Amino acid sequence: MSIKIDNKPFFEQLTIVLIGNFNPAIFHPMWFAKNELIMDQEAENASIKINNMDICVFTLDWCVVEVLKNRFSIKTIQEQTQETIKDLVVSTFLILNHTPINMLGINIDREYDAKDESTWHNIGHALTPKDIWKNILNEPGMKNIVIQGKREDSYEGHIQFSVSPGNQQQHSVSIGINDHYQGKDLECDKILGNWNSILLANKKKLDRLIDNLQKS
Amino acid sequence: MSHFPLEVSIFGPGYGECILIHIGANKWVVIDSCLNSKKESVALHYLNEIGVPFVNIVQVIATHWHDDHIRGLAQIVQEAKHCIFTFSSALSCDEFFTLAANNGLNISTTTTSGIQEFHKILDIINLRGSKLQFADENKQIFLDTELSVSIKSLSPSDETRVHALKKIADLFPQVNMERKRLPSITPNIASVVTHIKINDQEILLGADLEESNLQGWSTIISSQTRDSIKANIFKIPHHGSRNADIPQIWSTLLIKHVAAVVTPYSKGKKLPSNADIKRLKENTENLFQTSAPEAKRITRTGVSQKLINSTVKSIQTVQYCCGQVRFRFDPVAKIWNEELFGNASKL
Amino acid sequence: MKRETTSTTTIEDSMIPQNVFDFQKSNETAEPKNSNNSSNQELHLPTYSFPLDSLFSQVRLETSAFSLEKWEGCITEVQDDTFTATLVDLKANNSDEEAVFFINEISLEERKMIVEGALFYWNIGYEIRNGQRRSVSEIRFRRLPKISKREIDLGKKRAHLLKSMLNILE
Repeated sequence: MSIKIDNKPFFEQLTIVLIGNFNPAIFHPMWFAKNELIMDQEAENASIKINNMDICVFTLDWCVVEVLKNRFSIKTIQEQTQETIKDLVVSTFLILNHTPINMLGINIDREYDAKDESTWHNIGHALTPKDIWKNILNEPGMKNIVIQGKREDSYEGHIQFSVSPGNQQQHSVSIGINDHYQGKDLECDKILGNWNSILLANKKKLDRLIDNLQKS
Repeated sequence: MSHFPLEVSIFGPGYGECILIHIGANKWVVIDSCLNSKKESVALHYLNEIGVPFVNIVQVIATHWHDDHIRGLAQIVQEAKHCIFTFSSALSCDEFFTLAANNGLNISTTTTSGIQEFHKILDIINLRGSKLQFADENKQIFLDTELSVSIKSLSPSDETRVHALKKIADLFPQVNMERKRLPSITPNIASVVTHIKINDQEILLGADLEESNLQGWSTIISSQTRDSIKANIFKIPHHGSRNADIPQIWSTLLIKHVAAVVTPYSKGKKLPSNADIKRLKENTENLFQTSAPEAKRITRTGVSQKLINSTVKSIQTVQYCCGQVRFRFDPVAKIWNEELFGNASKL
Repeated sequence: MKRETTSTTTIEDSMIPQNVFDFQKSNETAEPKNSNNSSNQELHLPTYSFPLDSLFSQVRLETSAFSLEKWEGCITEVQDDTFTATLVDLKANNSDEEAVFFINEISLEERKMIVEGALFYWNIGYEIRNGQRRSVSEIRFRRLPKISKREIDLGKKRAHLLKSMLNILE
C-alpha cells in the first residue's frame, strides 16, 4: 500500500476556544482597541457580522473572533499571526480576569494533498481497515475518525486527533489536533505561557502522523 | 573513588558561560549555565558525553540572574536531584522573589530575561523540597572534609547587596506600566565570585563582577575576613571588560602565570575587545578564550534572504561555536594540564 | 474514504437566524459531560473545545499566509533611525540572532512602541489572496495589557508563600 502524501499541508488553521461564561456584547473591536490590544486602525476596519448580548462575530485582517454566551473562539489561517491571537486571548482574559473559564482548546487543523485517489483511499484504509465492514456495508469508506489520548502534563483534559476527507480540494485530507485543557477557573496566561513549546509539540505530532502514514 | 581526575571545564559559546568542576569522588559542581547551538544545556550534554550521571551534581550556583548566565539552569537543577541551589543574597529581597515567582510579570515570551529561568528553578526546588542557599561575602557554601574541598562565596558584601537591592526595587514594575523585558542591572556589583579550594589547589571564578565606585572587586581585595587566596585557575570576570579588571586582582588573588580564561560576549558591544586582550596578556602568558569571535550569518534560501535584506540593516548570529577550555589535574606532576575543544584557543 | 462536500459561506444579514441556536447542525450529537455550567444544560450546546462546524464558524478570512521564518524580537538598543534587537527563532530552532532594523519599516501607529525591552514578532513568508501569492515581511509589536495592581498584589502573595515554603539553608 503506497501512501505518498505531501509532508507539508497546503492549509493550516489555528483556533483557540474557551468554554466559560461570557458577555458577547462587550467583545466589540473598539473595546479591544480601547484596551490597546489591537491598533485603532484595525478596529476601524473590522468587519462586524453581528454583535448583541447573545452573539458576536467579527473579523480583522488577520483573525475571526466569535463569542457566544459560553464560548469564545478566535481563529486564523495566517501562520504569522498564530502568536498574535494567543497574545489577544491572554491579554483579553487578564483584563477580564473574573471570567470563569472551564475549558481551553488549542486546535490546529490542516489539509494535505494526497495527490491521487489511490493514495487518498489508502490513507483511509491505513487508519480504518475495512475488512471488518466488508460483509456489512457496500463500499465502506472512512468519513471521520477521532482518536483521543491522555495528556502528558498535570492538567486535566486530553489530546484528540480527527481525520476526515478534506474539503478544500480534490483528494485532500483534513487532519486536526485538539489540545484540550479543563478544570475549574483555568488561568489562560499560565497555560498559554508555554505557547511556543505547545505549538511546536502539537505540530510535531501532526508531522509524525504523516510520517507514520508514509511508512505504513 | 572516581577514575576522573580533578577537572575545571569552562564553556562559552559567545552568549553565555558555564563552568563545571569535578571536586573528586565523581562529585560535580555547576556554576552558571548556557546552551549550545542546538539549544541543549552545555553542562548536561558534556556530562552525558563523559558518562557522569546527573545526580552526581552536588551543587548548582547561579552567580547572577542575567539571561546569558542562566539559560538552561532550570533543566540542570531538575536533573541534579540532590543538589543545593545557591544564588546571590542580593536576590533574596521580596521584589526579586515577586518577579521570579510571577515570571517577571511578563507573558509567555521566548526572549527571557533570566527571571523566567529563576521562576522555573524556584518551582522545581519548592516541589522537591530541595535546599536553597544565599551566597554572601566570605561565606562557606560547600564543605567536604573527606575530599578536602571548600567552596566559599566572596561576594556580595553588605554594601553591594544594599546597592543591588535598591536597583532591583527600581526595576520592579509599577501599576499601569507597559510590559517589557526587564533590563539587566548595570554595573553588576552583586555577582557571586566563588573561591574553590581542593587540597592545595585553588580556583577563582570571577562571574560578571564589575568594579564601580570602589565597590565590587575592591571590596573583595580589601576584605579583612577573607582567606588568603592564590588561585591557580582564574575565570576572568565580565568577559574581560576593562571595568571588571583592577591590577590588585592579579597581584593579590592569583599566582604568577595563572591560567586565565575569558568567555566572549557576542551581542552589542562585543567583549573582549582587542585592547582588553592586550591588557589581559600583560598579566599572564597563559590566557585562553572559550570561543573565537567569528560572528556568522545563517545560510538561507534566496527568497528568505531577500526578504530579510529588504527589512534589516544587518543580521548575524549571537552564538559562536561552543568552545571548551578544560583543565585536568595531574596529581603526580602536581600541574593542571589544559585541553582546548571546539574553537577555544590560547591567546 | 468517502467525501462529504460542505459549502463555505459568508454571512449575509438575511441568513442570521432569529434564534441563535438554530444553526446547530443536526449531526452534532456530543452531549456536554460533567458540565458545571447550568446555562449550558438549558442551551444544549456541546462544551468541547474544538471549533464548531456552525454557520458562524464558516466566516473565513480572505487572505491566508504561511511563514518561511518567524522570530520573536526584543529591542536592546534604540538609535536615531534604527533599533537593535535580539531575535529568537520561533519556527526552525536556529540559534539566536541580532539584527539592526530601520525605524521606517515600522508603521506610524506602532513607532511609539519602539523602546528598549519592547517585544515584537517578525515574520517573512507568503500571503495568498484570490489565488495571487506575494512575499511579505511583517513586524508586529506584541500588545499586552498594562500591569495591574491586582497582578502585583497577587504576585506579592505568591512570592511570600513561596519564600515561606522554601528550605533555605543558613
